[in-house]
Amino acid sequence: MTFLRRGIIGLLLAYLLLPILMTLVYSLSSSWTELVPKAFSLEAWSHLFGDPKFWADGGRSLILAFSAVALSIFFLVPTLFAITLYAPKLSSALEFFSLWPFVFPGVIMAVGLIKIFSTPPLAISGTPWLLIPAVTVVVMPYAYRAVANAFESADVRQLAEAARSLGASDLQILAWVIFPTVLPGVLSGGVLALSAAFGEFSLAQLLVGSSWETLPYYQYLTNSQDGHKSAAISVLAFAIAWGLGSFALGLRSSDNLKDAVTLA
Amino acid sequence: MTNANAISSVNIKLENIKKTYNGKAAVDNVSLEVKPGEMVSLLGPSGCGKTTTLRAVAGFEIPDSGRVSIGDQDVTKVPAEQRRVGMVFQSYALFPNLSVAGNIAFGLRVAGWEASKLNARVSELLEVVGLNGFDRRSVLTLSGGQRQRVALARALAPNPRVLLLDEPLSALDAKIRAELRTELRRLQLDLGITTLLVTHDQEEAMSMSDRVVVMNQGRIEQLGTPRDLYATPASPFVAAFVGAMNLMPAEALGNSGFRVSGQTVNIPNLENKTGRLGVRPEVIDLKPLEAGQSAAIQGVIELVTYLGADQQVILKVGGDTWVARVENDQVFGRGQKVSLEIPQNAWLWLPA
Repeated sequence: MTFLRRGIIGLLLAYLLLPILMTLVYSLSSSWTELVPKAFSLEAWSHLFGDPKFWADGGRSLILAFSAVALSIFFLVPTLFAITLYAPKLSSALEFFSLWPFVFPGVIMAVGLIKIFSTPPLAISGTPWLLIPAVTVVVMPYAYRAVANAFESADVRQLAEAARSLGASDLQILAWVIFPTVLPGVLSGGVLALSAAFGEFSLAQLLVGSSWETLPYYQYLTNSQDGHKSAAISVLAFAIAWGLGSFALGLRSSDNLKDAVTLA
Repeated sequence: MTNANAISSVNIKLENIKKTYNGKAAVDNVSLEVKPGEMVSLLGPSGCGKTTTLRAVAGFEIPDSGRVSIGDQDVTKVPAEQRRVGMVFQSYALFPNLSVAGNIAFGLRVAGWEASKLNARVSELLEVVGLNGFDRRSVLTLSGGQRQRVALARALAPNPRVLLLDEPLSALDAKIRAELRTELRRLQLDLGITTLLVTHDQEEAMSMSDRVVVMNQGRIEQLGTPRDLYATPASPFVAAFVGAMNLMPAEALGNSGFRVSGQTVNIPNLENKTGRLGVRPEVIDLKPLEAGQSAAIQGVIELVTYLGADQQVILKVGGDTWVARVENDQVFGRGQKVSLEIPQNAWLWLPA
C-alpha cells in the first residue's frame, strides 16, 4: 500500500515539477537539438538581467500588482464592514458578484473598457490609469476571499460594538480597529491576488500594450526572439510566486502560533 | 481602590419596550427602572429577551416601540456612540491589535483626552482591576480572567454613565468566575455605578445584584430582590429557575388538606386551592422509619450524593421524584424508608 501511495505522490510531483525543471534546464542551455542539451551557458540569464527594459517592465508589473491589490483591499474592507454591520443579508449577494470577473473573459472586459475610455471626457485608454483599475476588478475575487476570511476569523461585529460603546464613529472604528485587526489575515490571503495581478496578461496587452509594458508583455515579446530567455523569465516568475506563497503560509502559521499561545 | 472617579449615578428607565424579529416578539412590553447606583440582573434562559433588552439600553437595538432613558434623558433614538455607556461582552471583544494599555485608552483617545491625563487614567484603571505592570502586554497573551478585567477597565475608563454587562463571566472557568463575581460586585458598589447585568446563571444573578428581573419569552416574569424571588416566587417558572424546588401538582381536599405525591398533608396557612405545592430541598428534614412505622409524608431513598458541606438525597415519594438537601452527619442508604419532615410555613402554593 505504501508503495502504491508513494508511487502516486511521486508521479504527481513529477507532473508538477518536471515542466518547471525542464524550463530551468532549457534556460541554462545554449543548444538543445537532441535528447540532451549539448552545451550550457548563463547567456540567457545575463541577457535578461542586463536588459534595462526587463527591470523597467518588472518594476511596472510590481507597481501594477501592489496598487491593484491595495486598491481592492481598500474598497473591500469598508464594503464588507458595512455589509457585516448593516446588511448581513446582502453578504451572499456580494459573494456572488465578487465572482463575476471570473465569468467574463478578460477580452470582453478589455474591449468594453477601450470603447468607453478611448474618447473624451476620460480618454485614458493605453495608460496605467485604466490598466490599474481594470486589474483591480480582475483580482477582486481573490482579494474578496482573503478579506472575507479575515472578517470571519475576527469577530468584527462585536469589535465594532465594543468600539462604538466607547464613543467611536464608523470611520474611527474602521481605521483604528477593523483595518489593523484584519490586515494580517488579508495580507496572507492577498498574496494569491498579488500573483494574479503580477501575471495578468490579456488586459495588459489589450489595454496598454507597449505603451506601458509589464513583465508578462515583455515575456510575450521575448518569446518570439529568444526561447531560452523566455524560459528564464518563466522560471523567475515561478520563483517569485513560490516565494510570495511561502511568505503567506508563514504569515498564516504565525497566526496559528498566536492562537496556540492564547489557548495555553 | 482609588476613588478618583466620583461617578454621579444616574438611573436607567425602560418604558414599554417592544422588539419583534420575523413576527416573533423578542421583547414584549418590558418596563423597568434601575435606580441610581443599583445593580440589576436580567435573568432567564436563552431567547428570553434579556440580551435584546440590554442591547436596547446600549443602543445596538432600536426598539419597535417604547422609550429608553438614561439619567432621565430620552436616548431611544440616540446612536450608541453618543450614549456614554460602558459595555462588557461575554467574548471580551478586546482589540487584538492593541496592547492592554491601548485597549483601556481607546475610549479616551476617541474622546480626545490629552496624553498626560490619559496615561494617568490608564494607570489608575490598571490598578483598579489589579493588572499593574500589564500595560505593554498584548491582550492575546492574557488568560480569560485577565482579558475580562481589561475589558472592564476599558469600559470604565471614559467615565460612562452606566455599566452594561452582557454575560461577562460565562466564558470563564468556575473558579475564576466566582472570584471575578465578588470582585465585580465590590467594584460596582465602590464606584456606585448603575449597572445592568445579563446572565442565564441564577447564582450569578442572586449573588451580584440588588434586584433580579426574571424574564421568560420576552416578558418580565418577576422583579424583586434575590431574597424575595427565592422566598416567594410568583410563578412555577421563577420557582424552577431561581434555585432548586420540588414542585408537585397538588389537589385541594378542603379543610386545609392537600393531596400531593400520593400523600395527604395538612397546611393550614395556605389557601386551599388545587394547583402546585413547592418545597425547597434544604427545608426538608429526613428521619429514618423502622419497618411498620409510617409518617405523614414518606419516601424511599434512591440516591445519595455527598457534596462536602451537605448531601443531596433523591427520593421517590408516591410516584414522584423529590430532592432533599440535608446535613451530612446522617448516613442514608439506597432503598431506605424515611419520613420527610417539612415545616408548615415552608410550603409554597403556586398555580398549576
